[in-house]
Amino acid sequence: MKDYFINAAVRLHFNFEDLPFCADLDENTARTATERVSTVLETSGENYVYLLPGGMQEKTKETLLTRRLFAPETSSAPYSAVYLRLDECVSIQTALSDHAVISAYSDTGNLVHCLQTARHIRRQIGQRYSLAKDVDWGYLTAHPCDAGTGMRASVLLHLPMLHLSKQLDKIMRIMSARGAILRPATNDVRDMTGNLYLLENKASLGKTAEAMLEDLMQNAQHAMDAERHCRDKALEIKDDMIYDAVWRAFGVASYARRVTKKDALMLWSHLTLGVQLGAFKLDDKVLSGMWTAACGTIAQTDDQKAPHADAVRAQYVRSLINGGN
Amino acid sequence: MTPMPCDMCGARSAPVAFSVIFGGKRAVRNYCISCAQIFKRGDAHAAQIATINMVEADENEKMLCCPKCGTTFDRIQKTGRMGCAECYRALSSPTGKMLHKLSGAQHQEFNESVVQAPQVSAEEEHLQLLKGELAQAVNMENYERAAILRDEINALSHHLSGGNV
Repeated sequence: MKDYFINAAVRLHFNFEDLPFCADLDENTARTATERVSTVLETSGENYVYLLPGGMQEKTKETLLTRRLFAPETSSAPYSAVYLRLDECVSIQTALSDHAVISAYSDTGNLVHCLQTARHIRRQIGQRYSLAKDVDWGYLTAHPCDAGTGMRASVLLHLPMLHLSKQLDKIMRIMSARGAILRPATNDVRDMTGNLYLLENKASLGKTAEAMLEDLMQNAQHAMDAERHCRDKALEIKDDMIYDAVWRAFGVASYARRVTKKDALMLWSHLTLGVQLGAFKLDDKVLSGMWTAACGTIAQTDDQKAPHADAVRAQYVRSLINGGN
Repeated sequence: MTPMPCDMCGARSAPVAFSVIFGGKRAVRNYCISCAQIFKRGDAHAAQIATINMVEADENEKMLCCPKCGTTFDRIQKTGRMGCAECYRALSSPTGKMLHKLSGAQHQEFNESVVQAPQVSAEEEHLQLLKGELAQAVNMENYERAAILRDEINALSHHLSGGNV
């Protein structure tokens, strides 16, 4: 089961040379950009579904947000559209501050493959329409910090020990000095849960995209080494506070009657840590199931007699831990 | 009362006021809901807003204007957004300083000639296939099959990531 390194994603921003930027503010520009992307995708030989952020189901939105295939600001961009490839690993969002953003996701953490996929689509669009590009500054974007490669790469890391041992601020500063940003994996810090953190490249200008990915992977390795070191230390000194946290999670998972998604994510985080620290043994399938309980969606019907989704989730979690009771 | 325009996009009305510190000086910035989300997220875009504000440009540079869209450098500093592709070229002097401050570099290395169609391994292709089957099984409410597929996907994902996850 995934522990330190959860998944990876790459976003490529680009604009059309002849259209003004900031397509989120102008309906005509937005429509033209969307039509152009649509024309190319129709002939790409791949299957995409067309989604309008306003009419998107919450669970679809949630899945796409988790995979970084949907920018949170898309919800409030009035003319934006999303093209989602059927395998749910690639999306093209149009009419954000940039004319289009291609996002590619990999749950095996293959950043290079994500980059190749996104570049392939950008090249197909570039063969048909002239893209805003400069010999000195590379791809030109609405936000200057995206100029150059136009790339934002990110990896999702699970760092519970750094959080519990209050070492994260230090690691965040180190990452910043090394040209990366480490931040909680949610849009709002108050929602931070599951000890999941996103590590992304700070600058997108100067180096090739491949070199930037290499730097990012090195930084991710550095953060994971720090996490591993903290875990080893906790194991060595048998830190009571840490063992208390993981055993509490075990107790909640065994007996809780209502488990929200947030709870499930935190339980997954602490149980994974507990297994790693040798506090208890759990099968890989249990941890995978916990991850599914946290990230999957349980359909809630209108039937008043049907059990609440949180109750169904709790039952599922209990059944994973002790075969249901 | 006329609503305040957003300091970042300049177009939408701004109900959110942020107290920010730029180069050691406290300032108040008004953002619309959309731009406030970017600021709150703490990602590279948010970091950029502070950095762009700290770029030192003289009055002449601030008033430089893009001949295509009419955007001035002063406006770019306030909003953090370029108006069009031509802005980069027409306002090259202050923009160069800004890009240097943002990334420590002033030009981009290209290797687009090596861009190739993605090479997907047979195992990765099989993984995508299994995921499609899983979605189908869930839709058909065939949960036994879905459970088998889920385990296969987990095993293959684990294998593809080299067990280092």
